Amino acid sequence: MRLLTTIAMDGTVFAAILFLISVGLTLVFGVLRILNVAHGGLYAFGAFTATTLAVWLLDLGANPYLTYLMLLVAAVLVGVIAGPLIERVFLQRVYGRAEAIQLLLTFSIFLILDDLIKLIWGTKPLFVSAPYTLLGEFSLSGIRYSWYQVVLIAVAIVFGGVLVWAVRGTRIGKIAVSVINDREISQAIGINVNRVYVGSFTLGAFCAALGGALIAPTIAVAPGFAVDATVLAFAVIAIGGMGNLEGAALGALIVGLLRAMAVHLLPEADLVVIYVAMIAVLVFRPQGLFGQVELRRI
Amino acid sequence: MRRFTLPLGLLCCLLAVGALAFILTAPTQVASQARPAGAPAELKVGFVDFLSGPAVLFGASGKNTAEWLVDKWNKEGGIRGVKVKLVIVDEAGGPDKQVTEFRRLALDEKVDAAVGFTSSATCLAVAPVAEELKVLTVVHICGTRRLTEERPLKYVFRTSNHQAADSVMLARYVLSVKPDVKTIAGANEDYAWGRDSWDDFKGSMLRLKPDVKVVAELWTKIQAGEYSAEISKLLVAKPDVVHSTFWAAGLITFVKQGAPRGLFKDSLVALSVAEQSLQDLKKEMPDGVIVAPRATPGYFLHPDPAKHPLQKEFVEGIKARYGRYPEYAYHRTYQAFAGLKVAYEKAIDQGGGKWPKSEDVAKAFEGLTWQTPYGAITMRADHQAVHGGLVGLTKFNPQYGFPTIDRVATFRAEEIMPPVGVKSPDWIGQLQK
Repeated sequence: MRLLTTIAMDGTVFAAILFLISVGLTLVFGVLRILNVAHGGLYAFGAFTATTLAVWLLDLGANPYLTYLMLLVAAVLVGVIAGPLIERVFLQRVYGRAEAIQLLLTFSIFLILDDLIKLIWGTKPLFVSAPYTLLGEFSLSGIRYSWYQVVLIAVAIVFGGVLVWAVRGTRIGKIAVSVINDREISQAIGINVNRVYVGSFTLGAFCAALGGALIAPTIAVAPGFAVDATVLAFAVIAIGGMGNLEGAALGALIVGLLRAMAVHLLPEADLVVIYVAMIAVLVFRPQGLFGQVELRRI
Repeated sequence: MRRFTLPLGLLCCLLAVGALAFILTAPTQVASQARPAGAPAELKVGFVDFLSGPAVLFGASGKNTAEWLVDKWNKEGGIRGVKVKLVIVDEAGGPDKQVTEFRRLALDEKVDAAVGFTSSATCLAVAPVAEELKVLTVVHICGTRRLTEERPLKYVFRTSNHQAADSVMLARYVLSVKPDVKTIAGANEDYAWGRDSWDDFKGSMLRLKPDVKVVAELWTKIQAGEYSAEISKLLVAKPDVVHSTFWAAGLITFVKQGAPRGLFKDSLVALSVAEQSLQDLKKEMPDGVIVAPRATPGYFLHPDPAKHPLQKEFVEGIKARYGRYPEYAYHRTYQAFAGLKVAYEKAIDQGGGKWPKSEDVAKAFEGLTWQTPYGAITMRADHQAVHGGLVGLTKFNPQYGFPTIDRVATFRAEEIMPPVGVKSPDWIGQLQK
């Protein structure tokens, strides 16, 4: 029983982290149909900015609980500055172009962001612990966990719910769905498609930065740390279905639980189990678990 | 016949001018006289280490030391009057890229020697190329024992203990502070460094205390950054001792995530590379953790800089220039460059004052003993240098604002490194207490 509880808790914590990393990626693909490799760079920028703001606040002697606000501020700053800038300056030039070009462009942006991080923050690892340790620890089946890990799970659930509601239940969300389904018709009925694209990419950038900001208190951020996270995010959305929020959540849960089971039961398989799962899903359901088969328009 | 005489005043002026000219050019004349015959205008040394990617902490330390030492030597006149010029290369990109870069260093840049290589994969790939191109190559950090145990080398040297020494030293220290240990576990990165280090630690522990049981062997990606599940597994298994070779940001994250959850209270954790991150972790690192600068016989406080001039000069010089106390990567880079310099000087002396070829320097390097901030190091015939190692327990030091090493134990080279001609696994299998 203790083993099951531990696997469930570890798996859910990791799933929350994966969901926060990958939700922005699937959102951008869903609306813009672009696999945004620069997502990892935005995630890293969010983490570095959050760490810097939190450390700055603590150095001023402010109330350490305000560091949680700094995490949100960091995500907003990165999202609203980087999102429109990247979309308007770079991405809008490759809409409708071959996917290879889009991939190369976003990969280049990722490398630029990685180098910018080194220029701004240097090469030393940075970290801040207060947000992670402030809430204390609790015991589950005799194993201690940090309350912050529970906060990550709660934020992932709430944030995912808000996004689904925003897409399905609001006017703006329905407009975005209309653009996803048919860009030309949407334009024809008077929807400002460019504004939808900028807004969607900015939201995606905010999501990436939020993921980085929330995870920053649990790790030491260093140049290059986002590469693995980006690869995992791609695996999650490939399993769940690209462009599908519920798919991202399910994909994250599957990956999280599989990894936790591997660590506890078969550590040798830890590194491959995620990609074995991805291959298995893609072989039997290439569009992902929640993905839609795309009809070719003639 | 008319005798020609110079006026006395003019003669005095000429003598004065001549004397002045001699005084002004005397150092150059002395240096010129000291420069070996056939010496190049400068000694070009390639330095290869990580300047990007997760291992940049090593490269930054190495580059800082290289520049500090070379600047110091050049101010003092260089190596027997020949100034040293560094050609710095980023080790990132993988072994294939590094082989290409090495060829470029040798054939385009025409370096006289190459120093560096942190990654075990890189040094194993580059060594045969160095031998093929006959480039004197001094490896400073790369830990794989295979570099010097699996093939004879002529031009490649390693100036520091390999990774087996770290593991054997940790095992000996664990048994000295916790002689009743019953269970051990490992949390290491899944590549040669992590695998070999754990195998040697486990082998040493089982040899020195056969009733020890291994309760968990955990493998993570390099710099995985998320260890919650691994920490849970260790908390469930509750080993007496946890061994880990995590480094840089990965190590900091492991400590950050593990300490609040009680990992360092439940188990005695042994971190072979943690000395490198003490200045970064500060109060986050709990007291009572076994840490080492790998198997290096010193760190910035040991030996006492007040009593050892080389150590004082190095520690104070690095701190003043870079704002950081030197840690093991700094010391190992010092070992490499200092060894290269002394080898050149010995080769020049052996050659009767002529500038030596690479083969001459290589020959001089074998059996060479040279001084470092914490004592002498000797290069063996198999091109593997050996030295002792230092390990201890963390204790927060308010004077420095970060933990320093308490209950320090030092081990002699022969206690932690296999002798010439004996492979590490075989030697570990025969370890004596």
